[in-house]
Amino acid sequence: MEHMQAYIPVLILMGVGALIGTVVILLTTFLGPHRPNKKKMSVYECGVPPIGDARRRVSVKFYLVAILFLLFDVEGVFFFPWAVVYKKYLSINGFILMEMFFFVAILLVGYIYILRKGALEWD
Amino acid sequence: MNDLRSVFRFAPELMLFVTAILTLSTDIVSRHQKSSQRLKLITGVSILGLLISLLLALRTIAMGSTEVFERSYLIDPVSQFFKLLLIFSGIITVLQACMSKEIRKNEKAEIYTLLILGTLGMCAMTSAVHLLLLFLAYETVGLACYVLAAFKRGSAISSEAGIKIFVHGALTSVLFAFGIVMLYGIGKSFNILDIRTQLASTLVPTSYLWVAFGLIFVALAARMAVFPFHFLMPDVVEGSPSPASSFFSVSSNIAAIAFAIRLCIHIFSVKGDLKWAHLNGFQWPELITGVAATSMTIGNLTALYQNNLKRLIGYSSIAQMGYLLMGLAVSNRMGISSVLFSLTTYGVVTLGTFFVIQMVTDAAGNEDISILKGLVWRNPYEGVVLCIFLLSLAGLPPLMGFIGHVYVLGAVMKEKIYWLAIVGAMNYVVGLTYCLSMIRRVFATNPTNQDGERAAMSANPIAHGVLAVLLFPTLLLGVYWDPLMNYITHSLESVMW
Repeated sequence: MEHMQAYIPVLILMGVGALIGTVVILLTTFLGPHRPNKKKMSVYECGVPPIGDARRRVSVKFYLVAILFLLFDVEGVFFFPWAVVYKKYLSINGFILMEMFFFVAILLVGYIYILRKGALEWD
Repeated sequence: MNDLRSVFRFAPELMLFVTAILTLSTDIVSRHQKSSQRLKLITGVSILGLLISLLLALRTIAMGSTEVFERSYLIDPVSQFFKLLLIFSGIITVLQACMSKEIRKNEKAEIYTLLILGTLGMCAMTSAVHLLLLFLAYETVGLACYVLAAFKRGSAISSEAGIKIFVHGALTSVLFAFGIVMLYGIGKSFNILDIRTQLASTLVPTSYLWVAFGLIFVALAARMAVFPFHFLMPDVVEGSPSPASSFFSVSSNIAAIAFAIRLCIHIFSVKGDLKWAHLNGFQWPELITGVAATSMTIGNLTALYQNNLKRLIGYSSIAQMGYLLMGLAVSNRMGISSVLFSLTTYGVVTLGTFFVIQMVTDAAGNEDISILKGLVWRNPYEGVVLCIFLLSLAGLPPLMGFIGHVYVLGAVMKEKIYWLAIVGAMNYVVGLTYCLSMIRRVFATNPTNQDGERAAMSANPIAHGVLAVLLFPTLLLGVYWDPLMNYITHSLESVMW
């Protein structure tokens, strides 16, 4: 159990975090003044008066676009570590440049695929 | 081997990937052609790619063991053996998807791509020795499986299968990741080879080993659907389109067994002369014997009461996985080689059974067991072939299933785990019961059947060819199994574990 001692600070941090969270909420509940009125209790909608129910149906097309966005976004993340080591590896050989071409070509196939399948057409 | 040459060892996987991309691209490019011609083109591209990949895997088999990609990917004869099985099973499932009436013609390219990418993930699972790479492979397989299960869009039962496998898969991924963390904690490395050295040289408390082993084994057990985690698998197999069902019950199990072997032997055992010693008295086989015994008993007993053909095979595959784990529990060279042999026989036979069942269910429009009635009189070839596959599944001589069963039981007997051998032998008998009852239906003449005679299925030369390809090893390995067994023993001896 010796090496578990290293985790005690983490445990303390978690404990303090939980403590502060609960204590602040409890204190405001018990000590704060309660003078509710209709305006105060209404749903907060960035200062605009809320219209209708928040639980509306959302078209499934939004999900498709969201998923596609996420896909290309996450694939874009791969560029960053590549760019960081690019200069170092380029001095060895040019394979690192080709590798990115392969990667982009694969991305492109995916892009053309969704384009042709009509996934980006709204109607 | 850090240079570019190591890529050549990786060629089968690369080819699989290229095939997947090419299949998708062909689908895009050939939009304006007639749908039958387009289907031929797409199927041709994917089958050709898979065949090339199979040949490449055959070529790399003789190259011995190498670690590539900064020691994160171990290519040895055993992993290549698994890859051959996986790619072979990929070819058969792609052909099955091609024949399937459940999948619309304009969606074939997508299911091929998913099957090929799933196979790629599984190939990576058999070779990965870096735990993070392994997790990535595990997830690739999972993602392909989720979509495959829910592929019949608009079918409630298929969506149900998709949701079930997704929830199941998400949970097991978490357990798997947690197991990896535990293993990293006690092994101080992400590389399986280093973890092994570390575990062998330091005295780690058994409870820590149990946690790490248990979590990872649970994730693998869920993938191969053995006892405590088998509940959802028959539903998934029933609901998914038939090619996906056969993919789940064959390829998925092969990959999971491949990594289970690596986990048990490669990490948690110390190499001895004849037998692998267990690490610091860590008795992992106890867990596996328990899982094996319960899962074959429950799988077989439940299969007796099934009326849905795909569901029945689903339960029988739970039982078959139990038989295989029996061999793994023995944990010596004989046990492992019996597992590899049985896995081959199981894979070929189950692929064949699913192939015929898909033809029958597609023709009949439902999956009730009664549609088998009189199959042999309607379509003699398919009927006889199905009977041979079922007999091999049950393990009757002179078919290859029998040899596999004999090897597994022999390994268990030699290790003097008699109770397990008795449970196994009793289960073989139970397994025979439902296989024979299906065969009885195939041979039944029922002229006064009220729904009339079913029309014969139209002969399909490709289907006949595929069945012949699957039938050949079933018959041959039953009488002449030496080459395969020798090959397996040799590759086990040559690996550097």
